[in-house]
Amino acid sequence: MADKQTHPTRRQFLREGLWAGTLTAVAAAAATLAARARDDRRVWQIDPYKCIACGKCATHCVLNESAVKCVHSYAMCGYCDLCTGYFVPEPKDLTTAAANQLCPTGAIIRTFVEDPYFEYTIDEPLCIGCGKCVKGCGAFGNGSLFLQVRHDRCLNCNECAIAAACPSQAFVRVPANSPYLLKGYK
Amino acid sequence: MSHRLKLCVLLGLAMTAIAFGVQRFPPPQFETPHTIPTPTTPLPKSVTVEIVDTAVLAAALALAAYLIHRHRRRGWIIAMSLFSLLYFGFWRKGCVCSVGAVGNLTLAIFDSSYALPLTVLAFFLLPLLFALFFGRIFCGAVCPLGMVQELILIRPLRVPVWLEASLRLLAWLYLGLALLMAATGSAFVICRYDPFVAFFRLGANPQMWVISISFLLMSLFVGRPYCRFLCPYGVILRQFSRLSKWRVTITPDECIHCRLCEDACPYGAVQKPNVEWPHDQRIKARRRVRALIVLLPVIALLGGWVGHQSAATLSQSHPTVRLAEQVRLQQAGLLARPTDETTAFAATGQSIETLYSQAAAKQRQFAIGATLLGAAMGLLCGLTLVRTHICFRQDEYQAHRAGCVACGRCFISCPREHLRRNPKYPTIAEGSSPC
Amino acid sequence: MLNTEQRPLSPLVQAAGGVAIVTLIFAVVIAALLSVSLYRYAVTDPLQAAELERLKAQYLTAPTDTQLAERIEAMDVQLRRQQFARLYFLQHGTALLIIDLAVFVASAVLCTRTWRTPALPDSSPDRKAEQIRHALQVRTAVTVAAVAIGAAGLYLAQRPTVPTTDGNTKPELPATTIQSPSFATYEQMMAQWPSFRGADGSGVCRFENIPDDWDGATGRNILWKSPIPLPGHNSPIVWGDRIFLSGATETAQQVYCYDLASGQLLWTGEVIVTPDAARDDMHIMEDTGYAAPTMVTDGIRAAAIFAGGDIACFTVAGQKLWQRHLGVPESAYGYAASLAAFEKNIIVQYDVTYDTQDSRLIALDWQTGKTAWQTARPVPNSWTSPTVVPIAQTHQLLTSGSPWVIAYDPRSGRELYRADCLSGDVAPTQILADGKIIAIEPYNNIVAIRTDAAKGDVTQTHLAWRKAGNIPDICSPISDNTLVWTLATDGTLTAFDVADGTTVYTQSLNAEVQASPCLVGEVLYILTVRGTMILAKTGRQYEEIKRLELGEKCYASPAFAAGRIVIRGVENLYCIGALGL
Repeated sequence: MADKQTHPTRRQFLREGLWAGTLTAVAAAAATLAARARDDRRVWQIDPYKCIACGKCATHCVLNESAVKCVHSYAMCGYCDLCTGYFVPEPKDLTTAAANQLCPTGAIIRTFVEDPYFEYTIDEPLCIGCGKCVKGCGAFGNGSLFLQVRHDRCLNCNECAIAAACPSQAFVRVPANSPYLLKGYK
Repeated sequence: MSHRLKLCVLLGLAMTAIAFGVQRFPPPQFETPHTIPTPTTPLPKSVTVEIVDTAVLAAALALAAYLIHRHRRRGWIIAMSLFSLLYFGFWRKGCVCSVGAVGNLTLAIFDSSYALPLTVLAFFLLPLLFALFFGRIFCGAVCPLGMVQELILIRPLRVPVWLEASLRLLAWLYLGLALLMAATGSAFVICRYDPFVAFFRLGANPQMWVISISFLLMSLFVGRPYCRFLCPYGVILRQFSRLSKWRVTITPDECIHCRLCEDACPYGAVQKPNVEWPHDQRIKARRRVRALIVLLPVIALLGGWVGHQSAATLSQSHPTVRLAEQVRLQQAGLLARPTDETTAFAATGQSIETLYSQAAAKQRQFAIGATLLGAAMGLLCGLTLVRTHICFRQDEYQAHRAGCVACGRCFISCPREHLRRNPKYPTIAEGSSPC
Repeated sequence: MLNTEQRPLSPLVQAAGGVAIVTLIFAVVIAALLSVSLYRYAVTDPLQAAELERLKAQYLTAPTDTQLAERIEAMDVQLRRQQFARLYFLQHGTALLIIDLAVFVASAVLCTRTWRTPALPDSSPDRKAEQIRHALQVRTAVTVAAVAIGAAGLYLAQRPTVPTTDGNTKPELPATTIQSPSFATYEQMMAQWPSFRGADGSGVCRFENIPDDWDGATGRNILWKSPIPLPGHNSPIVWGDRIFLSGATETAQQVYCYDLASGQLLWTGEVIVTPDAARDDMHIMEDTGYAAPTMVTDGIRAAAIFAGGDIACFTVAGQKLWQRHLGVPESAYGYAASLAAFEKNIIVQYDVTYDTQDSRLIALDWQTGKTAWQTARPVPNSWTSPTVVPIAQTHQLLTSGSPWVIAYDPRSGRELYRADCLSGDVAPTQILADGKIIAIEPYNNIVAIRTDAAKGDVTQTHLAWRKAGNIPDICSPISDNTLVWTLATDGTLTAFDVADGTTVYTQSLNAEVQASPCLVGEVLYILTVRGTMILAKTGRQYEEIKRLELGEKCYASPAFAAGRIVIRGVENLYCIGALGL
């Protein structure tokens, strides 16, 4: 063994040279990339103006209960009696009967405010992120109901399965300190 | 009936509103005081968590280096593996991991609009840096994917040398494809097909579950199938480990050629001493090497051509190319009904010319990338063949620099290790039997 | 195994074994339940249950049935509860499964410790032979693997290169922002020169005051002469005060609109050349070029098709409405069928390939370019153009190919009747003369097919006459309903009697002709390749009136407007008209 230490073989020499070179290269690459790196973390979010409410948010999230939920922009809402995001296209009557509701899980709560205004709130644990209400509201109403990734649930996967499946490429990376793209609010 | 009428009126209003582009239903004027609520905006976990994660990674790597090179006790290594599995796997949900960071890094290099988070860069570089000094200790006690496979290995089957060598080509191919997909901004393939993240996240689509369960079952009887035959980060770690300053050794001090470690490694990383080939074999080998080196460019070109042929299909992995194809089919009247993608595209009002030129640009990128990938694969196969004709001198039983994942199983099979742990036993030189 | 003693299993190991078996069974059960639940959760949708929908529909017909209403409510609640219960099970079941699997693995590892043999030397004393054997095995395996990977790569290549820079279409705009699509009636088309050889494809000009005197050298009666940016053999078309024509090379395709009064190029429309791998296999003869088909217009829009299969439509103001790629037409000499139009649709005679598989008649909506209908055609590639003619109080679309002359309903594309009477590479376009379809079988025959009460295969019943002679291969015939004239490329003019096909006269004009002849009143206008317009009297004897020189080579047939002739030379567009008219 003593011989090996006094006469470095060709292989050892090559290896040490490559080692030094690799170390330098790694350091250089690290420095370059770190210089370009942002220190703001990015998380996933849906651009509500691109979203077409196709329903894939409910089915493609890796979590069984999707991290995407419907959000209501109250400032944009018309508080209509006949809410096209709440009611099916031809409701029998304007009550909270399940048969009249668009939402498959009954996650929208309809409360009377004053004549003729009703307030609609989303019961988040019930919402599955299917987007049916979004479609209804967007088609005939003000578009105040829209889908958003909820960051208390989202795992922020590197490769978001919904983002990969989204037909309108509505998933974007937003800074973690302002992780929502709300309609009607800055 | 009155509701139908109401709906018609609404529709009419809505249509007029669309035409005039104003909010269709104006905000309410409440007579009684009523505060309009604001939507809740729960924040994601803070940045400090990520800094802690990076610190834990660095500490874990340092600890792993100590346990594998100095302490050399498998029990401790298993304990540390459990910790890594629980922390980097189940706690961090396995994301962003060092393996997946390959994709992020590649995207950051090729797409200037994507900025690599510092944490991801750290997760990519730290294990490599440690590998330059200590070998594949990341694989040994830190990587959660490796830990899953390590901890459930019950009865390892021997993988013949030829199978090992040929399957390793798959790992290179996977790395190449992952780089191509990431560079073109198509997908993070490594993350998409990560076999164990389904367990860490406790959630996945059915296909991912099938892959995950299959790998789990495979890992019961084949040692670390993902690490050895697929892991793209492992390919990089292997090369870095070849250059490491300190290598993982089977014996703590000297090899006494007792041969007891030959069967100790479930991953086939124990290298037996080599004897020189007979003279005629050496002459043949040299001739073949010369011929192969001359043929290398030919093989590379062939590989490049194959890669080029597959570029068009590979480009379909990019959403813009897929969309352009769907729109094209729609224009040619071949789509039975509009898809979500074509509907969404029509709603954007973007011109089809722009879409098509974007898709064409992407396809050109793929053409270049796939050709390079094919050529690289060809070159790799050629070099592997050259390697088989070279007989490196080796006198001792050693852990293969690149292949050893530093699991520590072989330590206990070495009598010298027993002596190190129980120094009260006399040395061999004194004539007593070991352990 | 060296350790042959059967050591009694310690209680820990026994317990571990038991635990392992139990947890394994438990894991399998949970996994099965989870899969079922996952499937059901993914597949069902609480409100879309078929049973519920059926009940709801039933309820709509009997709105006073309160019992039914209650049933619906109950079922709806039950479905929703089930859905959430499944979700709950999925979430907690997965966690349970993971824990169970962890216990299983731990116990399995514990009780299989005895399975593990101590490290021993493996039995291969001859290291040298082993090394060589391993090297050989690895070599073979790597070569096989490399070939396999290569094969996989080539398998991926099976898929043809997808042409992605395809045609261009503006997305559908909501109904309120475009004018309601209108179209020109046949009568309106007949009042213009909107397609190849006029609206009915006959080449007969019904305008007044057509000039009969001009000279290219002095410029007499040449109102203007404008250069054409890209070459093409398609004939100009005229509607109102606009002239449309197209030009193309291998890499560029353009549509031009000139002002009839001044000759100014009002606008140029770009038609994207769709990259299609099949373009590499196109055979475009110089005589055909990339822009052989003549355009068509209905006064609102103008459409052009090119040799590569790109068809585009512009408004007469120059706004591009749409572009489509119909696929590169496989044509021996290059695609040349001019466009026709009838009411709402443009009609494309897409006769392609050498066996009769892919040819079809395609109707595209004028405004949107969407395929209105398609009818398969049992003919290989041809170079004739479809023409819409009035027959028996209705309109018919006539087409010629080898061997069929087929008439279709221009609104629906339904085949009306066909006659087997042609062969070879058919290029002269059919005309209607005296109620008979005159079709040309190049070099061989001129055929007349009666159209009265024609239905189905009329080969045996409606062939009026069939005559041989100096039959052309390019120029389409012209008729004044008494005689029909054919013009061979070498300049031989032959007159046949429309009634029975007897050859009335043959005259050699000593000039090469590619443009099809026209009829203005009782004068034949024949445009030679040299640019000479030969005016000749109709009549049972050839009587030449004069020859007028333009001074430029001409391959395209002329177009007419009131008091105007529009002639396309190879480089310039000419408008001929007597000033003051």
